[in-house]
Amino acid sequence: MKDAKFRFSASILKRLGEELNPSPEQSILELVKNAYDANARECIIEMRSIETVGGEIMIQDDGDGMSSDDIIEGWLVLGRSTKIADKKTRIGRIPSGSKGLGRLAALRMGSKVALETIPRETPSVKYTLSIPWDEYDKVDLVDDVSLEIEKGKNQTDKKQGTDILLQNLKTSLSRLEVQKLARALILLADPFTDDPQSFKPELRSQDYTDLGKLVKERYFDDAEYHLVANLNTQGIASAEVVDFQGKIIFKADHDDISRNGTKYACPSIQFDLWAFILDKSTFSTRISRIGDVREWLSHFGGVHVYQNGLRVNPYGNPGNDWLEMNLARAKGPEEKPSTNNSIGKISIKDTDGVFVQKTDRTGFIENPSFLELVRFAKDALGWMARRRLSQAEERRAKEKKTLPTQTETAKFNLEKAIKKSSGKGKKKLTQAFEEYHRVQEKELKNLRQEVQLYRTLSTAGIMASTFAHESSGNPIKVITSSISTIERRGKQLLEKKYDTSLGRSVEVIKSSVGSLRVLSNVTLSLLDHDKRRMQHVEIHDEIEKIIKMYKPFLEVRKIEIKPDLVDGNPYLRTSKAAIEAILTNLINNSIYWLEESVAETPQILIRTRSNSDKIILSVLDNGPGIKSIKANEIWLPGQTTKKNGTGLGLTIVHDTLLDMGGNVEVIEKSELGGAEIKLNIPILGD
Amino acid sequence: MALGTNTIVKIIDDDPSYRIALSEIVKDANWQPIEEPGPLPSVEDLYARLKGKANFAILDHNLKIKGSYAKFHGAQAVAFLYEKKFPAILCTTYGAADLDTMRIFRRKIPILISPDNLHPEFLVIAYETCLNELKGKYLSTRKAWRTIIRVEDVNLDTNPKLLIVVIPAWDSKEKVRLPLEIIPINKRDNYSKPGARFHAQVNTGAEISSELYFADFE
Repeated sequence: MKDAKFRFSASILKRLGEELNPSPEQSILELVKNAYDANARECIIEMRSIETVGGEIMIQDDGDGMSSDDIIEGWLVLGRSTKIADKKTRIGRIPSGSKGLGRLAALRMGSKVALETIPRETPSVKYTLSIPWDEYDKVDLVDDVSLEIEKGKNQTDKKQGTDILLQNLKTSLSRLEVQKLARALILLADPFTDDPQSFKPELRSQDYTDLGKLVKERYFDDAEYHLVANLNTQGIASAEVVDFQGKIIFKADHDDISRNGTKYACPSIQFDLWAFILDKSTFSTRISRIGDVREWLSHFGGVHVYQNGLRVNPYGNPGNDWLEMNLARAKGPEEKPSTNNSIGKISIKDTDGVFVQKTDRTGFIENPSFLELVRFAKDALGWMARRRLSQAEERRAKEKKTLPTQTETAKFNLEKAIKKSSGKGKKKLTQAFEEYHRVQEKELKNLRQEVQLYRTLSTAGIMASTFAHESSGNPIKVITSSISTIERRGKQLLEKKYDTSLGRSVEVIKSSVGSLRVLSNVTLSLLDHDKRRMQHVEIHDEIEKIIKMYKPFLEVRKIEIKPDLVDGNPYLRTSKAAIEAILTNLINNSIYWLEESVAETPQILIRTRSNSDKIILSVLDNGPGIKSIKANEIWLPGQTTKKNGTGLGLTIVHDTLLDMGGNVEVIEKSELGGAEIKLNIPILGD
Repeated sequence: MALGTNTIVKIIDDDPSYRIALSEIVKDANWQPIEEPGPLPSVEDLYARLKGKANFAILDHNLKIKGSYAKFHGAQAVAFLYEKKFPAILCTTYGAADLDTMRIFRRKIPILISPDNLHPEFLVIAYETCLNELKGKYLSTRKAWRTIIRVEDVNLDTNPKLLIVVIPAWDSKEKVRLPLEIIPINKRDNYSKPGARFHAQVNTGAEISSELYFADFE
């Protein structure tokens, strides 16, 4: 039997080190994390001549250093899975859990590495190791290059720690890359706390000094509000929001945040978010300048993640909106923070290694625990937004209450000013003001009535949609399925007798259910949120859809509906709901009058004609035409001659059309004999 | 395949009347229906009630309407059963919003049918189709292909948030609602722009848009 084993080509080092390397700053950060794991308090990164190829980077730390065994069994071993151990380091840190691949990427940035390390246990001894990467290019297998660790005397003042020098860099580093490294180093060990014992990496560069100063500015006290949300080890959430004066304004328990009460299946988390209102009036009473806060937020804004005290890239990086705050803000700008006006951190205590970082350091693997973390953070933000929204509503209601008083005061002041005036003008001024006041009161009265009418109709709409949902979801499908069973079995059992005994009744039920379904579908379709969005709308498509939707309903009533559409496909930018509102209200109006008429073959005609930049859309019927109301009054809210009519349908048509920049014409007796409503709608093209 | 009276079909619907209506259709397929009275606290619990006790399941989508019948949607449950290789179909009336929720799980829903079209002959075909798909034998309408997707519009005001997309290889004109939730978090920002293009696996053989599913976004 022959022994066999895997061996690795020297080129694997290139693959692992360079191709897995997301960016130079992330690679260097891996060496800094090694220093953190080695209990260092300080870690200094110095860069020399990096603007060109051939420069040097020195990474020095005051950590525990390494013995020759530590170097051989740890530092030189690549890819060993070091799941975050529950074993803490000597000073109680939870190791960052590097696999060594990032370290390899950093070490391969130059053509040579020089390592010097002084173990804490034996400060008089120094170990050195040199890695000449060029040698690996000359051999086949990784094992073919032998590395030597030299033991020497420590003749420096340094008592412990490791120095790594990356020599003869293969590429230059741009100013932007240095800035990124500076930012990453500053954020690495939670700069938001004041812990003097914390880890302090430092980059010797001007960029670092500037950013370092900036991060220390800490404008947290200027935040409009501070959200503190906690998740305990049992998956139970709690939260509170503190205003800029330090007063708790909202408090939440688990059910307020999670809403459905489900526990969050992930380790303990604290989520802090400081949100700012960046407007001049808010900052007029603050000491800080709005521009400074803006700049600070532009560098450090966003929600950062700290796992066991160390930052996890890329959460909170510029452009990384992992909690979709900007998307949420698009919905309700007033009440929601964005990455540009807030700063936050999520601190995870994860001793069991539940959150696993991807090998290429581009965040956590999106396992169920991570998704739960995202859910918790989004829920907390959602809760805060809801509370702020209700606060804003209260504020608005209060303003509404005080508005009449304000109007009264303004009126009083104006009357006083008129009284004080003298001469001939005074009488005229008084008359003019009284006239203005009378007209304004009338307009207000109309407006109040209109609002009340809209409210009534909205309530009716909400009720209708609830019934539509319920009926289309359940009773209709029960009837449809059961009648099919009766039909199927009837045909089987009765054979030829089926048609004369059950057939007709079954058909009548089926067609009536069809009509019922149209009623609920029309109601539900009007409520589709997407239809209220401004978009490219092709009018003919909408007409066809509405005719199709109405067809079964009209068939039962023996009303014929016909399209007569011009060639082409005219389109405009509006909402589908607007076109639907116009057409359904006009069709409903025709249906009502056709049912009141004695026409033998009731008809509705929907016609389009194009006229350069507009489309003429007409709805005609052969009903009784417009009677008992002046043609120009049919648009007024509340004006109706229908029994139980709201008088709002045609008002909606009129108002919607005005919003679209169109106008309307009424023909009391059309070519079909009934009314014709003719709409001129501006279009974008056909 | 177990056809005939030995085939047990579980009916999961929050409306007891519809459970009865559906039972009658199942009986006409010469199968044995069992109406699930609920409550169903979790999909795992549902699976425990099905495994070894039934051959097939028919689920409604909106299971949470009446009382506390189930703590999940039908679409979610069918997808879970699919992973467990248990054949199940979704039989439901649906509006655009329901379809958005269903789209999230659509890859693992072999058949979505309206109650109007559910008759005994169809049930037999549906059962066979499910079994075939669970064995990796897909209908041409269900097979996924790598294809390009173009974002026409972005609608973040809705729940769920939507991308309005066109899949030229499927239909160069029809706009399809793609819930943002299906897309991995790290790709959402890049995709949420009108004019954005990306690749994903889509069953471009689908006949109507409610059959489309999306997976493996690149």
